[in-house]
Amino acid sequence: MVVLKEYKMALVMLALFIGIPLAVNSTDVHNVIIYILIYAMVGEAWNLITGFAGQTSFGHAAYFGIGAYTSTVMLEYFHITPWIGMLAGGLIAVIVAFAVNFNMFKLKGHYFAIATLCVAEILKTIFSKWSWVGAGDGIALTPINALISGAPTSAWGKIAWLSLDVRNRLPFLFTTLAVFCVVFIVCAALERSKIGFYWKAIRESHEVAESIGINPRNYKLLAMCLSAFIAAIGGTFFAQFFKYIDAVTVFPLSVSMIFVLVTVLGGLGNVYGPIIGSVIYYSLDLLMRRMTGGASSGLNLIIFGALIVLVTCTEPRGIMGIVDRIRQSLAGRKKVGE
Amino acid sequence: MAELLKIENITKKFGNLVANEDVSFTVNEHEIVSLIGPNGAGKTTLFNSISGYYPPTSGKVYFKGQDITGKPAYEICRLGITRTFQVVQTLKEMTVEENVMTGAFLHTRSRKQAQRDAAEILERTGLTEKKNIRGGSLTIIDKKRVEIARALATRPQLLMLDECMAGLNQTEIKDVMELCVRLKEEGLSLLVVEHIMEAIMPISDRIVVLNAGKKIAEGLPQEIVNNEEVIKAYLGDRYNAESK
Amino acid sequence: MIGQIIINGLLNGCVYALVAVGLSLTWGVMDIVNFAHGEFLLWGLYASFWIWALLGLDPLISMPIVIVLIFLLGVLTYLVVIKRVLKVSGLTALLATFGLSMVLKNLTQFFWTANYRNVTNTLVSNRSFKLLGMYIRQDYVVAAAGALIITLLVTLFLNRTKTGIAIKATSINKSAAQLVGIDTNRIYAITFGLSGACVGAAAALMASFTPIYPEACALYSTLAFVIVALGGFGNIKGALFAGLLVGVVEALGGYFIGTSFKYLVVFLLYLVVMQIRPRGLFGW
Repeated sequence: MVVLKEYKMALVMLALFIGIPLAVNSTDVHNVIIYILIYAMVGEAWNLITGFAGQTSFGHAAYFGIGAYTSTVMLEYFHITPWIGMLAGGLIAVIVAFAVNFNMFKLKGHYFAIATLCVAEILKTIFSKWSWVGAGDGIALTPINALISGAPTSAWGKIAWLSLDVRNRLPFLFTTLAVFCVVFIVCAALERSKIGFYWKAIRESHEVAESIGINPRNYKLLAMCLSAFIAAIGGTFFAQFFKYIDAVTVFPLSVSMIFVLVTVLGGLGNVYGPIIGSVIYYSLDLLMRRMTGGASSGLNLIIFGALIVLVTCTEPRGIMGIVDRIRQSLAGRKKVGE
Repeated sequence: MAELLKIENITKKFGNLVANEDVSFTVNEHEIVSLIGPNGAGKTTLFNSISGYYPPTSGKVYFKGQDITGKPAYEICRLGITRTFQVVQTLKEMTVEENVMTGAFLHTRSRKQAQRDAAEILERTGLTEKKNIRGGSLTIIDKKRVEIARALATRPQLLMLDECMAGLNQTEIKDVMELCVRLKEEGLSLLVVEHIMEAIMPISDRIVVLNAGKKIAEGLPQEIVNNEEVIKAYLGDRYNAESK
Repeated sequence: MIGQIIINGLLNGCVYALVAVGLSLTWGVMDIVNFAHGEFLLWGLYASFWIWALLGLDPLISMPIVIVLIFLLGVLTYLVVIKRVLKVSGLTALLATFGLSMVLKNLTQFFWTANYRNVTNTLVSNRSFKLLGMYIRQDYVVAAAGALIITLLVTLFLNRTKTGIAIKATSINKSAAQLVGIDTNRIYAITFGLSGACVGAAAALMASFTPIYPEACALYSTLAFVIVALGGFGNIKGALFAGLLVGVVEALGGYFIGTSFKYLVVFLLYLVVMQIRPRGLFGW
């Protein structure tokens, strides 16, 4: 019960995420919600290593891309369902994260951040030249039922729910939501656990962490591997949703920066940060595109960039900082009222 | 009394600079040993060598008979030596309780258990009322208390305090002195680096004096205040006059 | 052949170095990761282009104007944005500069569309000369020489002038600098301006051989990040050397492994070097 009380906000949000797609019958809105969930998912992943363990990554697109490519290749070439593909992708992402970062944590601060950027850029180059995975042309995904026989096609059908076919838009949305919920719960549980405490101690002071028996390298490596796994799952959902991937859509710095953006905008080191940041980012994005008549003029991004500058200049802790402030002032008023 | 920590001929060089030269001493169980010396005598360097922050250039450190020279700091902590820092390092974004819980997690995976352990230590260090305050917004004395509490939560056998009284006022110093004595009575050993003589003399069982990296004296507090070389090197005329 | 490749790499590297020196100033002195650095360069390029297109001035001649313009852009950025996020811990400042980069980049698209633009028929374009059997493009040589001279001037400024020394003092210890009476706010504004001036100069030098469009500087800014880290933060000499190194490695990689893999080699270089020197080539 205590836990329920602490995560009251999460329950309210969950209700909204179920209610709004059912109430609003618009593909545009459904698409935005799917985007929100996918980027919030990877944002949660990024938050583990950067928000909790304090190691800035500018290269999470690497693991996002590995997930997208692995599940897509397994589906297209071997006709294996993305459910298995995403686990395989997660596993490969963990192996890569482990191998790359095994000796990387001796780099501190920005030096580490630039190293993560390099890893993603290297993968981007490799995948854009690797002909087996389509090289520069990328891979366009075939509808799942054409590849896996027996996969049901009708929306709301019995197993259509689980086919991960984006043409059944609502089932796809709710599947994404369910997976996001699992990710959220895992991250929230980690934060409250010994591991979460150790990550934060490392973030706050490396020296103190060591003095109380924490091996910083191992805990950072753990954060990185978990983070890579979740990012890869996000990548799988992205591929299934977008129905097309190539190296420059999944691996570039601009994609890594979206994960940074939604999390820091919402609140770094806060489990609600990525989801709130993502909601704001993509609903504003939709709004702005509608208002300015499409993305070609760049006006939507100008307004958007200016908003980001404005938020950071007024509330450094992100939207969650504003939420906290409102909550405190409400609590203060209540006390005065009593 | 059994020997707990044994330092044998520790030398530490940074390039040409010799920070510690051939220092040896021991700390026994249930004992408060103080490490004193003027600024730049190499006290903190020695602390860092013992607690694993960097390996000594030569010499050995034994803990309960086991050679721990050059082991990483986190392993040394797990063996039973926990240190604090000269410049207080509170985990700023975490509350007092969370600070202490982080230490307590060394011996448990369970959050509840860590919370119980922390509660007990908060009580002992007089921090219970402040447990929900963020580390970053504490006063100096409370930050130092938190640092000691966090170290205690790892249940060390040897607690190493690096100038934990610097910057405190008379009453606060007295608080810390009492805490040290209480910890000793509870069975801990303490190795204390300190500047403030008045505070350290009455609570120390033994004192080791460093000057320019070398050990120049070791003995009971009374012997140290009367030691000519120590007076000359460190205490100066003022203390000499007072003690007479 | 190898000589030719190395020369081309070095010439390219000089321009990389100049862009990186600018970035290194703000990164080293203020510990601010300026994601809008590439956009400063972009605005420099557009400034050069429009001065050339409207007034007919060659980019090399209009260089002082562009330097001043981007210097002002830098100062303005500091006063309006950076100043407010400077004291905040975490990644807030980074996010602010990222937002700024979105604004600056998309403004160019909004005003001048996404089309490619080129400055043509400049004083140095389309000419090359032969030296020791190697063909050397005149525009590259001029850009490289200009980049070296400006880097040298910046170094002299930091070491010899009162303001320069104040900048260095502030980068080492902000509060100590304040104690001895340095107005750190002013110093930061100047540092940001100076950082802008560097990319302004780089833009003027590059304008004659770089296609100008909103995405033109993405690669330059990514490379600048890698170069600054490779050289060691806040180390001008490191940035210069790392810039040259990256230029050469990129050229050699392009020749031996393939043009499309040349940046891969650069990123690999960073990962390998950092294993040996975790604080950069010139870091301590």
